[in-house]
Amino acid sequence: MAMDVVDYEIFGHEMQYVEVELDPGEAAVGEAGAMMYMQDGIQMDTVFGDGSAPTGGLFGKLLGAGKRLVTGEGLFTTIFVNDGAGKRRVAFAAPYPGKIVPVNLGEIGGTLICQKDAFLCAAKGVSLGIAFQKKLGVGFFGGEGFVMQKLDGDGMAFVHAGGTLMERTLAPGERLRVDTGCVVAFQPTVDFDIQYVGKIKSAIFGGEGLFFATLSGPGKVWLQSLPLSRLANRIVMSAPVAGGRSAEQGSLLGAGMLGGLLGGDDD
Amino acid sequence: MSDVTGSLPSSPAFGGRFFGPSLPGAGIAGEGVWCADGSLRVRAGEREYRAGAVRVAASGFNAERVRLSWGAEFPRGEGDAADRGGVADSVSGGEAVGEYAFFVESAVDRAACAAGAPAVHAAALRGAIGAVTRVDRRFRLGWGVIAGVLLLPFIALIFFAFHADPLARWVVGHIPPAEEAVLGDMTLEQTRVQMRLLDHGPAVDAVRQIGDKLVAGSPHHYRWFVAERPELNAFAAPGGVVVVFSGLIRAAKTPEELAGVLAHEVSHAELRHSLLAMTKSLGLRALLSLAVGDLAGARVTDALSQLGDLKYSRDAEREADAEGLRRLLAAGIDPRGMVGIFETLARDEAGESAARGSARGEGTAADAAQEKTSARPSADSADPADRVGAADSAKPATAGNAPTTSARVRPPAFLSTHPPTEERLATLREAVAASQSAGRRYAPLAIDWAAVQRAVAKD
Repeated sequence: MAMDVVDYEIFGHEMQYVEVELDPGEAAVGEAGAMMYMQDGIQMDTVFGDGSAPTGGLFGKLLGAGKRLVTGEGLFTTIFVNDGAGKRRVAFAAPYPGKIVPVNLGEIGGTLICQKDAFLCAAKGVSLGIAFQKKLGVGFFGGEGFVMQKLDGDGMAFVHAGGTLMERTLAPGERLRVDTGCVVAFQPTVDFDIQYVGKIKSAIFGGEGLFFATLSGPGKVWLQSLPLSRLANRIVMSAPVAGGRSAEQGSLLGAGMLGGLLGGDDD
Repeated sequence: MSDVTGSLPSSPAFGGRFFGPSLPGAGIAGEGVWCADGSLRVRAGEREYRAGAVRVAASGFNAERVRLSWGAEFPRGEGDAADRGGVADSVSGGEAVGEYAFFVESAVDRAACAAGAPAVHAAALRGAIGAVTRVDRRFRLGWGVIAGVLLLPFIALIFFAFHADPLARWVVGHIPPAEEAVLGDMTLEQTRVQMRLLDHGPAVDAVRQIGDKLVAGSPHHYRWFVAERPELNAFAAPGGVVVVFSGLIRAAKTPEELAGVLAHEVSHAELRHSLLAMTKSLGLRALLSLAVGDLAGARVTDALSQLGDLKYSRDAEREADAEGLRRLLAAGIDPRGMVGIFETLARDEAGESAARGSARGEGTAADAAQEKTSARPSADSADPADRVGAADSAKPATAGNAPTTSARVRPPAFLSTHPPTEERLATLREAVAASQSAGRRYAPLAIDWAAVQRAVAKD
């Protein structure tokens, strides 16, 4: 189905929000609770699932909602429709310090694989799916867990990342080694794998964990400089009442065994 | 565009995404087709690209895509059919030097790609397409193993539930008699707190004299005691500690009757019933807490493991009856004494419960008789319900907290500790009758029974 074309503007530096302009009749889907403000004339509607396939039938809707539950999103998505006569604006705010990444899905081939929970908002018609990481090693040690999010469509989608964002285009065969947990999103042509750090000494004392995540081109990748869990760790560690429990992701066995299995890096 | 080499007539075009130098970093949509000479032609954007030595690999997220990649080392004119090793004479409109990659994404396209592929790439393509299945299979296998590990306690529990007896026997088989004796000592100490135990005197001598005949050749060192209690009871703790209540000696009309009870109790000890029960109960409890966790609380685990306990005791009673009879015969003691004392016990039981039943106005005598068989052996309760065998094993140790009130409710048959006395009695009578048929004569036990009775009567 044809995607709604949305104009947008991103405000702020380290704690951003994105303002999306909707033409009459256009709509955007937002992560539950991400809406910051909206102008008169925009109708808010809550739908079961992601609203990308309104005629999908009950079973399809349940399936979509179930997938959203697995990715840690809400069962319902909020759709913002411009019912007014002129252009109207609605804004979505990122939930933690970092950058909002605008991705034109049409330009990258229609699919984006991203960290679960990274989704912020998108043009109506973008479907929010789940992409299971099926390489066991990557799932356990890649820092993103086994459940990733897949955005399908050809409109704009906005995901958010912690800290400073790095957008990188990898040429065919080009490879980037990344600290686990720093991968936000990548094109599905990118080979996401893991690599042993190489030396026992580095693995134990190097502080980078046992594995690097490796991203091999071609394709676009988005990296975040500060995964939320790392920030949270530092805050907890420096809090006066903290138990002083340090569980830096990527340490020895990834992001704290069981939490890391399914929870990825955002525990 | 001039088609110099030409595509194979049978070679279908397949869609995909094309990456390369001077192309947008996110790639562009393209269409590929295999040429007759084994090379690949990709039409993307407004141009056509030709690949020479194509490398085939599974790539991308979950290895779901087939990557056809090649390096362009020499700038080459568009549509230039010169051999690939030749130096291009024209760079105008030529391909930029660098690595190119064409990704075949959808299943339909991959099939089309494989269908038209030249022979040199056929095997590699099949492998690349199969990689998805391999990754998928490994994924399922991995999670299957993880699920298996998490479910292991439950699996072990189920296994244990079905094979508890052989498992417990195997464990108990590895416990030496010396260790068992330690348990017996502990039980003995516990019992001494609850009641006065005699270890000498005519009654103890009689018990020892009979008992030693029954346990000839046993690895255990038996210790015989008489407790000054009015109940008709006796029990054997692990490691050869046998306690007979004086009430029972008074009720026994002949030494053979006492021998019958002793044979039953000794059999419990020899068959290590209490150890087996303990092992099973402990094992079950350990597995339960492993599977259910401490959260479930002691109530569930206690209730479940006690059920197993009770069921075990029923079988144990039957076994002890049979083994006791065998031991009596082996020792040359008249087995009719066993029947006699069992009858006395049954009568006593019925009489008491009738009295108790009418006093409370609940249940019939028969009901009450069955109810009593389920009473937990509580050595310190004044309730004379504890029967021969009801108090076997180390149970006096836990007798203090045995629920005396809950035992008043008649449980269904499968919940009772012992088979109904009538049933046991019938089985016993049959077995004794079978052993009598040989017409064997038994010498009476050389015990001054009157003196023994006098000794316990004065208590």
